[in-house]
Amino acid sequence: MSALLEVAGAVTGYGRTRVLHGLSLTLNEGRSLGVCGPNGHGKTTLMRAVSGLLRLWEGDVRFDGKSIARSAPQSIVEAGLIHVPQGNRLFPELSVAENLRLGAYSQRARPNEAENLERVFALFPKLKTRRSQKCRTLSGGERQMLSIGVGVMAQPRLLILDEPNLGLAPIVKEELGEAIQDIAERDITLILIEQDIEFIMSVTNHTLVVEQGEITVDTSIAGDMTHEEIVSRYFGENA
Amino acid sequence: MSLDAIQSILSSAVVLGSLYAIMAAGLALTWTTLGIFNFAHGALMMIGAYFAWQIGADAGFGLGVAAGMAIGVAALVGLGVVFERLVIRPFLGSRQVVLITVITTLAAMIFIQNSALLTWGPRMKQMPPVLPQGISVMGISFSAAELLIVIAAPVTLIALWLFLTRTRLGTAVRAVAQNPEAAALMGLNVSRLYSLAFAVSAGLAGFSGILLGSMRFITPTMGVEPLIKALVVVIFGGLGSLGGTIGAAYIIGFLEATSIYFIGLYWTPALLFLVIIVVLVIRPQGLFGKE
Repeated sequence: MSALLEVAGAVTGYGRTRVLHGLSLTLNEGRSLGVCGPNGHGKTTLMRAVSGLLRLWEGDVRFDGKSIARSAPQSIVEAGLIHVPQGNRLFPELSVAENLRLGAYSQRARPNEAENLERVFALFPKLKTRRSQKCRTLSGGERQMLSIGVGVMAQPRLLILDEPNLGLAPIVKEELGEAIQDIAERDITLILIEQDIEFIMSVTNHTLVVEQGEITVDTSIAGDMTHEEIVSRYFGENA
Repeated sequence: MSLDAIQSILSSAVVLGSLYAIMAAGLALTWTTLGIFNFAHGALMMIGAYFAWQIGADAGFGLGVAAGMAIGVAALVGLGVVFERLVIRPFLGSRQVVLITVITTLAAMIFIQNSALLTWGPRMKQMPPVLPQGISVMGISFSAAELLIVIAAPVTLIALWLFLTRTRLGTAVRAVAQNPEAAALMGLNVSRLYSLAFAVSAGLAGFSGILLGSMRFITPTMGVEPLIKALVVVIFGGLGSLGGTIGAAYIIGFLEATSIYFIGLYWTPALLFLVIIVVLVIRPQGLFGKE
């Protein structure tokens, strides 16, 4: 099994403020990775660096063996690395169908557009009924479904979901959770950023905890903490 | 009010409205995609008219009006790409991009105007007529140039609308305006789409300039007054919607034609601005704009 994504010694930040302090990780094809940790400790920053929105100051990111640290977001998408950002507003004045169509904008996704659209509508039947509605009229949960749907439309080899459940009602979370589980069980390699440890545990193969811009826990390393220990560490003994 | 008066008002309303619609659509396109008001839009109109004259008129290369129009619009499309590269792109990352581009596009306007003055001199130019004589529709007579505008405007605008709503590329242009970061994460080439928006906008500017130049005289400052009208139209229609902009263009054209007939040319701009102020007080989002 070869590494699909390798981050080596990533250092970056905003302005002069360092957020990531030499962070490294490896993710094999077909696996799914959960990333958790307190807010403001670099989870989202890491993903922005991986998808080319933010330049690395030091270190390297390799996708499928090739360095993408200097690549534009467009060519990273073209390679099949798809990042669904946190609180994605998408394109508020475009319809649901138009948003999905733009999800399949890259050359690699275009041939499978119809097939992927079927898949998105199977995952989220609600989107099918709302297909001609403008995106800004959707509820928070529906917009999150659309964000994930747009990611699926892009024919991802690696799909990064950044806090898809943020601010949603429990019942909506459940619906989204099932869809994310479904995606993780297929051939798509997944990175899931989440605060909900239970949810991460149920979906992903292993989990990283990012604190102060470094990985402090890696459950794939033998002898390290188990999921249960992470829970007790962050949420107290009774969580 | 005589029938003649109504006919005369209507015909000039349709002509003015059509001209404003093409101008304002080009202006609105860059405004909605990049959030930048291009003060050089009028200067681009003017340079388009000069290009067409240079290529088409007998005093220029004498290749005929049709060739002048086609090459003029094509040249402006290319100029739009260069314009975006030089005047807009270097400042796109900046936080004060709106303020900076007010200055840079104003500077470009002055630069283009003076280049035209140096190249073609201060003497007015006139485009040779497209057709030898005018034509009469339902008792209203149009000159050939006016007829061309009345027909070309809806065709151009429908083509623009189809491009923006029915093609993947056009949808991408609209999307980039709404959320550049999400666009980048979907693999849209944001800077190339900005170039495209400017190319189309400059092409529309050139086309409207050529049409205006075939109706009136061509001078280095011929774009100044239409720019203000286009600004009025875009604000009046409400930012962001092409349909609103087009509707507003025809309404402003009608208001202007009526006002010129009854009040006269001198007070017409003042009246237009008064209408704008009233509309914005009642509906700050513009006549057709959303909340």
